[in-house]
Amino acid sequence: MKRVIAVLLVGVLGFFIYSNLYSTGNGNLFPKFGEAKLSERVSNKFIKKSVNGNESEVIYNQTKDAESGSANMVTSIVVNYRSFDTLGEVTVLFVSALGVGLLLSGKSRMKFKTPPNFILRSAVRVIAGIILITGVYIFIHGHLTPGGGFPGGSMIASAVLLFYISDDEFKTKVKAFKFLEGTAGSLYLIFGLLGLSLGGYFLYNFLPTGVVGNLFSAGIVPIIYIFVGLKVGSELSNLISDFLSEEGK
Amino acid sequence: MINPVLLIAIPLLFAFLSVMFKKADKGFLILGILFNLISAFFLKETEVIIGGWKPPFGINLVADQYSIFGLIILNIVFAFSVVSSLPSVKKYSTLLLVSLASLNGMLLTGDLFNLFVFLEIASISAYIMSTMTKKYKGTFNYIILGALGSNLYLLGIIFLYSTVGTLNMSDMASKLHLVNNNVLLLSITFIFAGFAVEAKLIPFNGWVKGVYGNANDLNGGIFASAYATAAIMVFGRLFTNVFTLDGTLKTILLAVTVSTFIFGEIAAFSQKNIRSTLAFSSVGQAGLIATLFLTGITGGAMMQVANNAFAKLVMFTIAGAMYVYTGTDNVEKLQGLFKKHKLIGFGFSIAALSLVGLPIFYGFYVKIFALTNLFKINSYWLPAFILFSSLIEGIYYIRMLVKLWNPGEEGKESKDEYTTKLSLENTFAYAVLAVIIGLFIIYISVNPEFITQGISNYLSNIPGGM
Repeated sequence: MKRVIAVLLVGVLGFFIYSNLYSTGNGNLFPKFGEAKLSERVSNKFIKKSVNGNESEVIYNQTKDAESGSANMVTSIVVNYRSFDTLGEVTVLFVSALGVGLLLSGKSRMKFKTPPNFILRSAVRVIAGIILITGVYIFIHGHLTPGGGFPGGSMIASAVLLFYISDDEFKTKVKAFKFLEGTAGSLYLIFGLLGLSLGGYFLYNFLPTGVVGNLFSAGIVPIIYIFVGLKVGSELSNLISDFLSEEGK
Repeated sequence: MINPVLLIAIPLLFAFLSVMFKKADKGFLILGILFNLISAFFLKETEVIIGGWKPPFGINLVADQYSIFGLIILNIVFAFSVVSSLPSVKKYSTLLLVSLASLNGMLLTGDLFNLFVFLEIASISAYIMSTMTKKYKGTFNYIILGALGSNLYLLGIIFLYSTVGTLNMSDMASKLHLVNNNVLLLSITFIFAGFAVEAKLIPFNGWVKGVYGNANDLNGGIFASAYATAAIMVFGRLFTNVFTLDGTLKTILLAVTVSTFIFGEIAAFSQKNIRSTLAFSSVGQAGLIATLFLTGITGGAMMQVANNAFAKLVMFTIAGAMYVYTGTDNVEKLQGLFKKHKLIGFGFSIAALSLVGLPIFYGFYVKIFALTNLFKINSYWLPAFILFSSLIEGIYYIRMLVKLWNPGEEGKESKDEYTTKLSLENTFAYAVLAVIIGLFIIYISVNPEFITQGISNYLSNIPGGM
């Protein structure tokens, strides 16, 4: 009976959403895919980098000091125009990891029923280094290529997970990771406060920006992304070690 | 003059630092709370732009009279509930700092997506805080409903964003008339439903009994006063300044909030345990405040927010302490507890009576203000409902107070032998809290302008606020 009611409820909700979203009438409708009028939107100025009124075209490898300087549009929105949201999202992950730590952290490491075999162990030795370096590359080049702190950090954590799977005795030094996590988070905030004292705005991009497309081109954006990457990597590694721990016997 | 962004940044910074220096975490907690408490009083009306990108392109924080009022109350109740139950903090100080930052952020932000981010942080820290008493079923309920609520809110702003392409609150308010009616109906329903979870409105308040009913001295005060204040103030901001309602939709949402306070009070009436009574009473209060916001009586709603925050702070902290130190919060078993702890009883009783709205207490002033304003806009049903629910509220609170002060059967002379054997240890902090807040409630009862002044300032410059 409960299931029938649930199905009915979902059906009614679906009808409610569909009928209202795709209705016709006065005023702006919910745009169909690919038919949004960009010129009426806030995002138009993000794409053209003309928030501060600079209307000239941005050309890769030529334009100097385009507002945020980052070639990757998503990065310039996430870490420059809406950096405060990213600080919040970093905190979301921080709190979640903290909660897992408070609820699950144990003293000893969980042992798997089947010990890891030789092939897995030697393969991980080869692969983990490549994964780690790729992760670091991704968050350092977050302002130039698709990617950034969150995917880069998750890659680092995936290397840690591989170590856990391949080695029965492996255990991260939780304290070091906590320290790294705290440092990266505090540095993000300290850079924000530096912006407040140097430029007058919290999270202000106070470093010089260069030519779009160069590695050193986006002021504090790559620095922030490095902090985010380190923070996400250490937090996710902590999560893995919390989930794989059990109370000591 | 303090930059409002520091109210968010400093507690967050201390939270990250307290992870690094585990031993000093309580010190960081106290420092962060003190900083916020002091700077909340020094806030001036400003608009803060973050990152140097002018709104609507960047994120801005709005510190007008409305949010300053909310921030002062929020930081006071947060500080009091943490300081008076320091022994219960244990490993949770980082969490408390993060939740303080996020609650301040919720009240300050002028951006709809940024509000979602802070809502997420605040609710995740609330989930974790609710595990303090190890009743995981309530937490699980809360997680499911809270996740549903935040997702509905997010879906609502996604619809609006893809239709008019802005996230800034004041920009959204000015572009709202461009949106097609059906899309607007859909997104406002979703945003309302999403916020109804945190603001405890029917039918999204299934988690309240599991979480509030199992609260201890620390998280009870924080949930029922700090979180409740932030959630309902943001609700007020959204539904008075950003999304202005009219017609059928307003009637439907009003029906939801009115039924919330009636059913909340009736449910509270039938509870035996103090904390569950208080939990349902919080639901009722949330419904009342939301109703006042929706009908446009912002001043009355804000005064009731203050009244509810201070009263619930004392009552929930003491009820949680009763549970922590005596192992029960059943009214029958705790008969005559206040006879032993007169100071605590003093604060608790004043808070309860002010919440009910008995004459000479602050709540009376608030309710008279709300009722006269409701009559002014020619509404007769709402005052009747409010008076009816106040009557129920009065009955169960006074019944509870009589039991707690005066042991024994009804109608018979009470003797000391009926008094409970249980007693509160660590009473000093709670007694101080109860006396301070009790005296403060008496002070604002005699001198209601003390709180009303900020509100009337706000009401005089509503249009410029956003």
